[in-house]
Amino acid sequence: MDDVAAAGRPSGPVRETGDRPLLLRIEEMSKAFPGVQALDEVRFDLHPGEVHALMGENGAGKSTLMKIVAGVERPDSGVIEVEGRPVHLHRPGDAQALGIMTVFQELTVLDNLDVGRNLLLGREPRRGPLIDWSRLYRDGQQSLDDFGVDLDAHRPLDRLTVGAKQLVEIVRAARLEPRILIMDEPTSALGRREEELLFAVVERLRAAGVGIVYISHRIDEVLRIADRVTVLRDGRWVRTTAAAELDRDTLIRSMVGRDVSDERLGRTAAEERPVRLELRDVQRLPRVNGVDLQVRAGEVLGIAGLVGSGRTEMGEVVYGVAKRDQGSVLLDGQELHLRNPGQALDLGIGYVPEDRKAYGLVLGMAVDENLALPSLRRFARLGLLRWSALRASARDWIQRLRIKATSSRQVAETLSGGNQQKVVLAKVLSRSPRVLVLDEPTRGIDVGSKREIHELIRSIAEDGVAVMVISSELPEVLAVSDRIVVMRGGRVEGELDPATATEEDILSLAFGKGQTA
Amino acid sequence: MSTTAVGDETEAAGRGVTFDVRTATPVVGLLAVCVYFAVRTPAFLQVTNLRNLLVVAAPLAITAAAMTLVILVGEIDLSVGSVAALCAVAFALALANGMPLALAVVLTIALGALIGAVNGTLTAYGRIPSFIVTLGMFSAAEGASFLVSGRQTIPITDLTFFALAYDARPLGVPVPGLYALGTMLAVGILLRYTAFGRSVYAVGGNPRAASLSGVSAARTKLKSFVLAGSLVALGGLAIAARLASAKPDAAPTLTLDAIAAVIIGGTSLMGGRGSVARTALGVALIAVITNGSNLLNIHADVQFTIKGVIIIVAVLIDRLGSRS
Repeated sequence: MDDVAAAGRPSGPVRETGDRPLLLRIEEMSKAFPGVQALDEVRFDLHPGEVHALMGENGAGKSTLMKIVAGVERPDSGVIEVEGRPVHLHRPGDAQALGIMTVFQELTVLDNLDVGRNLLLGREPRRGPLIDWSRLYRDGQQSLDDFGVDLDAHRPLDRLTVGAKQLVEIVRAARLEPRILIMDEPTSALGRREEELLFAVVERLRAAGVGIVYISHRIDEVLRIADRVTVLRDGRWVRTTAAAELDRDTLIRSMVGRDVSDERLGRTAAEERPVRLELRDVQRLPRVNGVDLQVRAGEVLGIAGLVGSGRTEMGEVVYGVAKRDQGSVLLDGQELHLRNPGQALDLGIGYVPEDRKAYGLVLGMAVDENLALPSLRRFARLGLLRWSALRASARDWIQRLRIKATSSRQVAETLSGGNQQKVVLAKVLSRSPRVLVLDEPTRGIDVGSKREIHELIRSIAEDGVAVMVISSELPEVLAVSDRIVVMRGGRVEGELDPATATEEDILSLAFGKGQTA
Repeated sequence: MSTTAVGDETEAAGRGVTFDVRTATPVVGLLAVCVYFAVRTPAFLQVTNLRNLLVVAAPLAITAAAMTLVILVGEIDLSVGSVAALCAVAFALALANGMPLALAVVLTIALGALIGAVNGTLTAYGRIPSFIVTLGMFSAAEGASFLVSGRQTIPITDLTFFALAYDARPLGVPVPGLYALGTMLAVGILLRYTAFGRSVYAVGGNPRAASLSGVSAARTKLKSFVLAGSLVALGGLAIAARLASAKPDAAPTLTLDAIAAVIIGGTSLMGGRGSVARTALGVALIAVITNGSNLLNIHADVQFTIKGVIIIVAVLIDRLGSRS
């Protein structure tokens, strides 16, 4: 459980970091990109056998710093020493030659190969000129077993979950016996069991004396496995502290530079408000298996549940992207028969999909054009687009949602995650929805933007919109909802009041009663 | 950190073509080729030759505008060459059988639109890759035009048609060139200043996101193919006007030239990025090379090879440019 993990660190005592040799030392590291000082005299160091977590909001400079260490980016100034010797890293190969391996957030394993071939890709054992296949699979399986990852080396990668693929990626780096291993958001795609497997891998590497740089947004997890934590903010070093001396609130304060509490924004549901959206026995097999629920005008209904519990599919049925097999969806008491998203938008149903890059934005287009997509026809007069009106509207939304963009013409791809998400929200809000379905509205977004989006969701509801927030993040569900519905196996398992419920209450419903881990 | 600087919008970025490597390459290439031919032969810059250039390039320009639409929406049309020829054959047969000119023109364009609708429906709603659908259509249209023409060249004798489609020289400019420029301008305006045009870019860039935003990807693709088909028919008419006849193999290199013009101009084959203005540059480059090589008596086979090299080099420069 998250709270248990936050309270104590079962993974061993903090190591004394006194006179032991430094594996990696970075001093006064600076790096500027056009218009941005990404790093400003940052320092960082790493001991052998240490897990040193690097934290900060998106844009704090964590990734830039680690890209420099991995030889991907070059610094403007500053010193990097590996085992006391200054080094110059011009390309990734230089870093790898020094035993610095990186596991980036984006997967680099290949779906068309099996686990074993991925693990030994480019390092296939040979017998003469030919690949020794039996040894390849033996070696691959050995590595998996060594790190306690119970996968079959013969299994095709495209049959694995994203989490399992990530474990393959990590084992691939770990089996090369790195001296320094950089892990960028390794758990962002992992399920709970896979997360435990990952921690076991980290534990083994630590015991073998490998220095691990661990970048993560998940505070509980960092407090659990890290020995020390360094916090960056706006490209500057803020603090380096032993994890044992830190708690959740202190860490958040360091990252954000102010207090962001986990307070509950929801208020008791206004029972007298009319029911805006109603689902009656909605089925879409195999995932959604008879859902009944109501959302009132001005209410935020949180939808919790494990991945695969049918949350996302239910949202898709409401928006008309997925057809229901059975049951009915009612808007203001009128049954809906949606054929496509355009119709849903016209009726006042808005939807923010789970993956903003894949489904929410046309990344290569400018912010203003993305914003105009759901309402292109409104900007046309006699068939011709009025660009000035389109831009003015975009500027208006940029201001209202405080989207950080250099201009409305900035290409969406170059915005930070939080600002991209705001653009996706503004797109939907520009159609003045009466029902809003948000799927994972703050995934992969830094703490400050998260809070802003939560407040935005509340103010949308206060304007009378019926909002459904589907989320895997329990603090988020607790923070924004007026009411929480927990799904399990395609049905509503139970309902909770966020004013009194805890994360444990949600999980016990999500896993099924009596099966709490 | 980037800031909210709402007032200082860079207006230049809003207009169709910005000056970057993608744009600079075809512009510089075109200038270089023009200078080369002008130096090598005085005939190149003569008014009669420049007029001829416009006439010869017109069918390609019109077809390439159609191709730009299809490529921007994220698809490809391999059938344009044989569809243009089929439309020309149908048009010539209609005239030969006494159909009034205006009706024949309208029906020919309708035929192109119909073929586009078949391509578009199979691609957008049948979920068959357009590469395969239009490869099939290429063969089907070619077969059809061999069948209806009986493998004969069908002469066109309608003088009104020639006057309107070929001979007219308003302000000294040959009328085929005006049709070509008019088509490109119209498609350019359509893409930039209509909701449909922006849908084309959105669907080409991310069909799933466009659909979820209420822009139907399938309908946008279908419309693009229908429109492209009509333009291809227009291209067929331009060929018929130039040859004063129609035959199934009238435009053997039209498909490849149209795709080449789009690519050389710097429009992305992945869809979502590019413009008709770029395609115009590509058309101009291909037309000038063909024309200049003819003036210098460079053999057609050599020209083919040169064209191939230019396509590859254009994409190569584009890649190198976008990497930096």
